[in-house]
Amino acid sequence: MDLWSNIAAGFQIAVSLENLAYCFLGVFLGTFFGALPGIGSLAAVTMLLPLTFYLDPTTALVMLAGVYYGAEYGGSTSSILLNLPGTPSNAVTCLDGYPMTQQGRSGVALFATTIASFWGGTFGIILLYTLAPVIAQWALAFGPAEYFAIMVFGLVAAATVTQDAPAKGMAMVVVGMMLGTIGADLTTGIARYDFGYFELHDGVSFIALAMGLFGVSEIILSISQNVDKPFIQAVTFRSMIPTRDEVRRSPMPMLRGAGIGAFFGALPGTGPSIATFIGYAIEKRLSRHPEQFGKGAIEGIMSPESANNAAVQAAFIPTMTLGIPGSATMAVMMGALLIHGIQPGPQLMTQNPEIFWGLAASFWIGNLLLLILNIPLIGVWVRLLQIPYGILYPAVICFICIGVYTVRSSPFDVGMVLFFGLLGYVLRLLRFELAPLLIGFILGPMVEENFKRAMLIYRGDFWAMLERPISGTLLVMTALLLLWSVWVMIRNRRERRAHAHDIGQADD
Amino acid sequence: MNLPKLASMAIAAGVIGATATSALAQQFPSEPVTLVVPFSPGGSNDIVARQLGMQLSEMWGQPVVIDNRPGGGATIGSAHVAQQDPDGYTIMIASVTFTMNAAVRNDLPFDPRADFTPIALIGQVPLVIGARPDMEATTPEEFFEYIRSSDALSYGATGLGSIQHFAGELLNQAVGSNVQVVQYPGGGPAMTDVMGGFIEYSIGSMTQMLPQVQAGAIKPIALTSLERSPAAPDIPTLNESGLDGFEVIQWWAILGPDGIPDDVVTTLNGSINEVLASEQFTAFLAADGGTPRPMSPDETGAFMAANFDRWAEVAERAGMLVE
Repeated sequence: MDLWSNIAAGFQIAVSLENLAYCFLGVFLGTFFGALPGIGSLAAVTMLLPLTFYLDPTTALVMLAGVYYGAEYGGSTSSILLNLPGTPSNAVTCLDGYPMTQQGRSGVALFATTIASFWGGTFGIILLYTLAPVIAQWALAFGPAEYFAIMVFGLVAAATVTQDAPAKGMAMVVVGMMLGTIGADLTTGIARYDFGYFELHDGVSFIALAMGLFGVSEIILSISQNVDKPFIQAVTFRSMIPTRDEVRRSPMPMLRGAGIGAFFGALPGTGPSIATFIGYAIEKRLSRHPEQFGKGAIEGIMSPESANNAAVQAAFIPTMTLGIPGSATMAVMMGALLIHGIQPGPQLMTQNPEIFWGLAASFWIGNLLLLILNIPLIGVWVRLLQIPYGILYPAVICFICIGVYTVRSSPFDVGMVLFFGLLGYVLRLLRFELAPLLIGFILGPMVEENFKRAMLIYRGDFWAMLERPISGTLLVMTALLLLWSVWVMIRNRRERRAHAHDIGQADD
Repeated sequence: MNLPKLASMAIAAGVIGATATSALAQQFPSEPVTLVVPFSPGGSNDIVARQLGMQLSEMWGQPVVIDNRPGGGATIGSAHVAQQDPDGYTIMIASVTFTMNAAVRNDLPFDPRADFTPIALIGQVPLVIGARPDMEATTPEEFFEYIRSSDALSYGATGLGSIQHFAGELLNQAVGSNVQVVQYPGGGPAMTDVMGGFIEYSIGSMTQMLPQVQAGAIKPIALTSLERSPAAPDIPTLNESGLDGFEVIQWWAILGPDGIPDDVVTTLNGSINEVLASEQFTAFLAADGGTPRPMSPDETGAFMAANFDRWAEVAERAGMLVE
């Protein structure tokens, strides 16, 4: 088998002492940076990029990739323990991970996300191995109309991430979309809502927004509420064992999450954050107990974490096979190859097979290392909670500022993260949910840009979008989903009213 | 204190000052030099700057620090450099887009012509018209015929006033066609939509296009330089295909804040031209179809002035101004 000999050759390259050492170094640094709230994968990869200029290209990429998926792995730790997402794509994991910590079950949550991450990563790697060229071709069938349809679908699905008040959730989606319009418009070049700040010309920094809303606001909230630490628990291997019910409920969300993650990872321009939100939304829709979401439902961490890591691995498919980086982090990674004079693209697999197969093999070794590294570390992480908040929080604020600054070398963004922290604090006091805001911010500009592109290409003919098979199907599905949600809402209200009437408590 | 005494002191101070400057120039650089890249790491400006910086620091025995200051479509990094001391220790890389931005934007916080000292030109690389793989036209002449034939066609560029946009509008003006521009967030996404057949073509960098051309995923129509490129000798130029003098090239230059002393500029220019002459640097540029283009500081200034004028004219004719 050609595939097997390629895989074998890849593993031979990956297990060389040098590559193994750098792979370990990469995933170790990645987990470490990822677990530090505020320093995400992009900041970590950007910081470590210059270190790799002096390495062999394969080794350089093995290490950088290790940092990337290591950071996504580690990012869930602080989401679960501190309600502070380690990287923006772990923001969803806070929703159910932190309640588990509050219930004294952080060991279970950390163990579960480690397994979900490993499975998601492995699934992404299997796709990279077997179907990379096919998937890359398939991704080419997605043009502006198709992207528009997916993003609209995502927005509608995102509205369901909201817990109890749909109107408030929708309002947050809209606020997110409005924040997304800030910056220079591609087509006209006009800077929108920049208030004369050139720093806003490229838009609001996603990292500053995510870390401000979720990280800084959480810290302000904790300080103002003067929370004690009731959640400390001794972590033994026993305390990591999920209940039998949780074990039964986990596999399907994990499988679906991996599929969703791989889909969005392989599609250039989308990526892990969208995948985690949609994974969560779909689980909530499918669950028989949607009311448990947000209160520590295991599905609420299994699906997004699996999706996150599958997306991270699948993101290498367009980068390696088409030479098109799907995200900012992948662009930095591609820069690392270009600096070594290697052009990723359709020829990479034939011209530099050692890089492609060696890297793919190192991914799996790296994921295995992460699994081995993370399970014993759970006890160490949980002990983080014992650090007095007076020491922990200033340190976290510091990390957040460093992480935000590194991405665009912009002091302005540091100011922004603090501003969004205050905004997040106020919104949380008013019981608005922040996750829909973030998803609106990511999807809004993509909806707008792709809509504009599609309308330009089809010269303003909206029907052309509905006539295309992929976009047409997706748009019809979205419409059905919307109708169904409205129907469910009406039915529930009617039932509630009837119920209230029965027991004689109707007050309207 | 009487006047003659004051005058003689002033002269003495001036003499000391002058000797200090020339001594400075002789030892230049006596401390690390900062090379500002007004873009994020990993792009073409960054990669060229890093290669140049690496070779300069080897030559000088002084570190050349690459300082990425992205944002605002390169305005943040450029504005930063314009405000630094003109001592030659802070320099920046600028590309053709520096002169294009000036043509479409009226909100720049600096004067792109007056606030900078041109130091040296680095090199240039042509763009290539990459068309969707199933387009019937193959030769440039058939291609012109095709894009003239319909008003329903679109091409991809990377934002208002980007090099792809200027190249596309210049082509429209030269051919007499009316192909609609569609803007993308980067050269990669524009290229994928060409490969997927959603748009007719995109005029992009050879670095990005050539691997796709070799794989048959993109059909190369022509280069935008005056002469063919050694990296792709089979691809004709627009210049030889009936569009006489058609030239849109990506180039990079090194600038500093306005007012750098002449001797420091000369030293910097000499060192950079020495790097350009090295086999290592030539090979580095050739990998992406580029060639070094050494110039004196004055020639660099004249070259940039000609670019400023030309793009302002194209932008006006195509109505590309930001409202």
